[in-house]
Amino acid sequence: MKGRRDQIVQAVALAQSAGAASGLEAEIIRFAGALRQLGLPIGSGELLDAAAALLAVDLLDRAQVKLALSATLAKDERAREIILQAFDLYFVTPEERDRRAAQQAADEAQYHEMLEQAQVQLRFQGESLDLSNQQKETYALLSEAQQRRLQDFLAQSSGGQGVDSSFTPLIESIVRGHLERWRRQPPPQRAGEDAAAHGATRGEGDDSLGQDPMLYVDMKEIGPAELAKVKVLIRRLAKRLATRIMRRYRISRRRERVDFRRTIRANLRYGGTPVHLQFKSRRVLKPRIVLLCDVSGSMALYTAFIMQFTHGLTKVVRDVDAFLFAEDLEHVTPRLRQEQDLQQMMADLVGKSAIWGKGTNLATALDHMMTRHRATLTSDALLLVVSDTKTIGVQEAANLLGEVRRRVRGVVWLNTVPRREWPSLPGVSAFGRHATMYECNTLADLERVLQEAITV
Amino acid sequence: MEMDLGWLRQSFADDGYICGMDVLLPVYLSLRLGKPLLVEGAPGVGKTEIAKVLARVLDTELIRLQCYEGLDENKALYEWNYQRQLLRIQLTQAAGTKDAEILESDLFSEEYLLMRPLLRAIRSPGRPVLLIDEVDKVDEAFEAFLFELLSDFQISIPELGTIQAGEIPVVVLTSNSERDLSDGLKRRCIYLYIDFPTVERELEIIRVKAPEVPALLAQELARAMRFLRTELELRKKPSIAETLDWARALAALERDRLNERLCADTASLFLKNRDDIQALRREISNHGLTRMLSRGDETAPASSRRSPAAEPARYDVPPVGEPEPK
Repeated sequence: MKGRRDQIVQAVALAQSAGAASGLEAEIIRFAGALRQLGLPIGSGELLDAAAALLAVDLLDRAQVKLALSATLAKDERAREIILQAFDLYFVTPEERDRRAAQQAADEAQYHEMLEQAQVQLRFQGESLDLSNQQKETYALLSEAQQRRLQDFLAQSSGGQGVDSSFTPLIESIVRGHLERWRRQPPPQRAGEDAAAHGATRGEGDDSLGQDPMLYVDMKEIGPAELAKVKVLIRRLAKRLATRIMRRYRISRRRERVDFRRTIRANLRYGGTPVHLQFKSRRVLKPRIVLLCDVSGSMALYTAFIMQFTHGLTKVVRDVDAFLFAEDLEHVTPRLRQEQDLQQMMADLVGKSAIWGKGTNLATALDHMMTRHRATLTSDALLLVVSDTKTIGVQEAANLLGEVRRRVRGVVWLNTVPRREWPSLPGVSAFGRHATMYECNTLADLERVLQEAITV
Repeated sequence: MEMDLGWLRQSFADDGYICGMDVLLPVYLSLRLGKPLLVEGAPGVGKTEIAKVLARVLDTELIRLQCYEGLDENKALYEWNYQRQLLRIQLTQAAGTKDAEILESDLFSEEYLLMRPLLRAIRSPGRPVLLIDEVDKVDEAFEAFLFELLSDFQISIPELGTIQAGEIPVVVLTSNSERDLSDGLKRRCIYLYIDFPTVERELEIIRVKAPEVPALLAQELARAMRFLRTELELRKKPSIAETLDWARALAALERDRLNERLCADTASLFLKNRDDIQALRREISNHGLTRMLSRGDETAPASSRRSPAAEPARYDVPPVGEPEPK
């Protein structure tokens, strides 16, 4: 998201240097090349339109040319935004173009210097740390106070008692973790750098929603300050998902069949001639969702979001039955019904998990579900398990899950661990046999997964 | 009629449709290139109005096809008047005529054809404006049918043959972006996105559409609207239609300045949602009207920027080495 302007600058520079042909057509084609580079679907049809449009406007009026190109080449709001930005960068006077090339070279030099500096400043016991360029860049963009804090930490730990070079990997991973964290949550002072450009790229996602950076933040890293925003977002996502799924149902209703009994009855007044046909359609079966959420330690935050989200789907889901588990099972549907505040709910969940936080035992949870809550496992229910698969008694739990699987419509597993780490988890393959497993740690993932799961 | 940009601008202004070049030029291009115009934007910014204005400006008929879920070709294109055909058969039988051939060609003549908007637009003698409203509500199959029609403007009715449009109608499609339209449809259109207006433009709109509103009040309203759209987290942002409602209501109440009480009491005119109204009340009780009526950045289009003040406060990053909050 934050790099979009940079991407545009790069694509424009690349296109400008391509080919020597001059003239209006060549320029438009090169400009379109830059836009294609940015992922916009621009075919020759659009190019022809653009050329025709340019003939219809005043070519000497920059604003008109810009609007003509955006009207013919853009097909949605996002594309229009990109084209307007790219236009300003692409169509410049030759002097400006040269100046910019020089500027770019200077920027590059400065960037390398910045990385060098990070390399020098981040030392542990006199040795430079092994960091990626991206991490160094993150460091260089931090405020001075934050940089100093990192340096102090390194200096202090370097001098610690009994600390030797074998600690380097540990220290490295701590530093890396923090840099990664900052990278995903750009501190406000970075936003101020290039206010105009940044404002244009940032605010634009407001209504289209798909662009909101918050969608792509790992849910466990969403801070309390952002809860209000996330709450609005979740509600909007749920609404969008609900309307989208509703459409699907309607469309399937198009396979209508004539209901003879009702047709004859309705047309008795025409002497049995079928003037008004009566149709029957399949009853739309809304699925029930049974949520089974892990609340051990760091899982609690995911659980809160997912429960809220699912609850927002009441339009398309008949009902949601929610359970929490760690060492044992707890039925929390009544709490969901109270429309509790998200913040309050998270506090509660985190509080609870602190009491239980001894370990995760899915086997016990599933066993209790089968014995005490058997009624909820019906053939139209979809069991959503939210867990990182780290549990004791994996094999036993997997067998029980298989048994549960036979009673319900489907089992979908939302795994909050990134997919690349799955091979190292024994639970993934064991549970994967009985459940469809998805990676799910951002709100965007969650929306996508739920859509697939519910419409299946 | 030969038209140029200046004429179009003047005509729109005369008709009371206040807009900038960013709206006018795509409209102009769609007229010049004879391509459909696809208009997107938040509800209430004047998408449908464009078609109406166009019809008035070009002095032609406006044919409107309101889309909804389940709209099919029968409702959009044509239908045979089945009841009437049936009656005709029965009458003929009663009269005792036996000539079946004549009867059939009679039954499928134009007399029994119920023309729906799309066919009407094609058969209309002049160059009508065809408004296809909320096209995102129809299902994909109908959309495919629609863009086929929009590309060559002819349809085949098996019983009557192919009907070709005399003059290609001016087509305006509007969409609330509830879902993505198919590429095929988008590809055939000139794209126009209508943004929320700037403060100045909104002021002008109020002046033209609701001249009874005092100047000072109009200015305050325009600023307040900008604030509501950019600074508050609302579920539904108020748009121009709501601004006008509010302005007219305040004029009817004979007020000439906005105050806290008035703003809170009339909130339901422009915020159509309990949560949003509460958000506004909170804002008023915390900051009064000072933030709402501040000058802000008046030249920026309202939806494409957000001031840093609206950014949610970030985490205070915990010192390195301390455990992260779980």
